[in-house]
Amino acid sequence: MSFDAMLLLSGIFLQSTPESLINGWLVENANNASAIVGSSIMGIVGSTAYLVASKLGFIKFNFNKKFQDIGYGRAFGYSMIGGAVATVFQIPELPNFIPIQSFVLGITWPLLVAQYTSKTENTPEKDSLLKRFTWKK
Amino acid sequence: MKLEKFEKNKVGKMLEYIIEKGSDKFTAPYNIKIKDAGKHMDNDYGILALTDPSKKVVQVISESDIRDLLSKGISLDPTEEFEKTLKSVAARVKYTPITTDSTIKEAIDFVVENKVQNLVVVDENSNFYGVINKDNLVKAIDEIVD
Repeated sequence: MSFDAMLLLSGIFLQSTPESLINGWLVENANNASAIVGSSIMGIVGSTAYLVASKLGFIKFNFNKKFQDIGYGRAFGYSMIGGAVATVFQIPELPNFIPIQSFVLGITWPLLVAQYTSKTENTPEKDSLLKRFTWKK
Repeated sequence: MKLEKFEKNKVGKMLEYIIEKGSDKFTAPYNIKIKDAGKHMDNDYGILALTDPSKKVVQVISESDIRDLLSKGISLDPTEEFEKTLKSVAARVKYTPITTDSTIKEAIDFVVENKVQNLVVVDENSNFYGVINKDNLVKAIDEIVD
């Protein structure tokens, strides 16, 4: 090892005390933790905003009566899942925090679920009822 | 929502958002003449709720009832026959009030059994409340019921 390299390494070790290394680790993970908490909150806010907009009738498309009649328990669950989805998508972005992405994911999460549920198969009772409405004029 | 639970709900509560309001469009006095029925029936639904002087709905006439009347050979000239009141037209469907407090099952059964395209809903005083279109009802069932 050359003298110059030894001088460089000694300089690094001299500047990086155990205390500074621990502090650095804490700062870095504190940023990650705050980004996760932030994305979770933004996801919850996005989901809640969507539910409130549905409840107040601002979103009229697709006859979204399911969302208008949702109870407090299910609404709470929806918002929490919105926060969780936003958090999952935030993790690859760490330590950067992208609040807009989390907010949009919180909003689009119920839409994705609605699309999924609308594609689920009907019960035989519902099919039977819908068939009763078909007659020739 | 389960079908059983859905059917037990009140029409005025669960289906409020698909009820087309506007008594001006859908109602006419029961003594209106047949010749004047056309312009009153000029709404998107082709249905007319006839009301008595106290504004209670006493009969519902649809376009098909008028068509049936014309197919029986009534003249469009202002003859005595044509001067008859719309109330005298024998409606295909016997009027059975479906109120805002009726269950959705009652409303569905009425629509299906009588094969009507539009259902007139009245309030607790038998006054006109609104019209439910069959297609909107089917859409609502499809959206709400699991």
